[in-house]
Amino acid sequence: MVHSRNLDGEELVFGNQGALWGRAMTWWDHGTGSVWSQPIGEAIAGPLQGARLDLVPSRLTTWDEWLQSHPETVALEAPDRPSGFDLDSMSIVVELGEESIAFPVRSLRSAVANEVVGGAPIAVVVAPDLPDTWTVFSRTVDDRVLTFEFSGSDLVDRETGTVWDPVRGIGVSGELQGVGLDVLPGFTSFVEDYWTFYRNGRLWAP
Amino acid sequence: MPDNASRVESIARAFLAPALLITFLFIVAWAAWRSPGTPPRPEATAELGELAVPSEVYDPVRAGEKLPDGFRQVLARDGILPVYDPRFVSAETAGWTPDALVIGVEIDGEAKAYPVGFLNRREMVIDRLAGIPILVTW
Repeated sequence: MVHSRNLDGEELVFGNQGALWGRAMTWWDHGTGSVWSQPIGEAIAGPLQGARLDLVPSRLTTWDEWLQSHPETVALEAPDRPSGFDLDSMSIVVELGEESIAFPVRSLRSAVANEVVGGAPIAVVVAPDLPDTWTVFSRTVDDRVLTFEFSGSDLVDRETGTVWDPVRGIGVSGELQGVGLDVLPGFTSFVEDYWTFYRNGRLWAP
Repeated sequence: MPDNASRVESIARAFLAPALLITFLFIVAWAAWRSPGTPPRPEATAELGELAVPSEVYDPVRAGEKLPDGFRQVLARDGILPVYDPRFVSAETAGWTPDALVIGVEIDGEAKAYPVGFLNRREMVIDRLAGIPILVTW
């Protein structure tokens, strides 16, 4: 996840609290010592309790795909060890307005989630050819609301039949070719730990 | 009526006491002048790039604040050391395998990639992109 370290115009420096909550990491900030929960980006104890950081849109993807879409990218000076990451045990959490929905990745392997969260029509897409890559898109293009589905490994919308790049959300062929969908923030949480962060949330099922 | 000896003694006392006090004060002043001064208090925040967990920064856990159910302190603060001074190389220099999993972030046309396999170990990168202070975590 990527968060902004700006809080009301103040730049915060974070360290690792060394504690877990909802099986996710927690941070401390060097200024006040408050303890923060990573998935919700919120201070859960200390002077800043209740404060929240903004999410910065980011992507979990392969190096190859990132490099193709961002040829100008620089790389953290670090080795690329095997990640050992199993996305199937996670859910993708989308929070918009006052509403939050968790989308278990397993359910997204064969279906696109077309949902409305906090009044906004969204789609959660796990790319069929890039098994660890997911993206949350807005389904609104101008005044139209689209409904997405997989056709083989292609992502298409029912309304116009346009074929979309499932990672970047750009129309590849068809009526909306060249159009880009808005990318919305989301984060991953272990499926069963979602309730730690959102008691009034909802678990999505196809 | 005091005899001679006790008069000498009282005169000596009258002069000696202030003399000793002045000598004492002189020594103290000299010692203070010679000493390098009290060491400055350690900075409350760690210099970026240095391993320094400032013990005087407030910790709600040690202070006994109520934490939410299921909260579990496992290691010390910065027991897994965040990357406080990230350095970057060109894509070619990185030489990562094409299918390596990365977190990619782009702001205003500037893009950075952080390999997940490395973030597994260090968990946090305190960074900046296009002038915006960011926190990359895994």
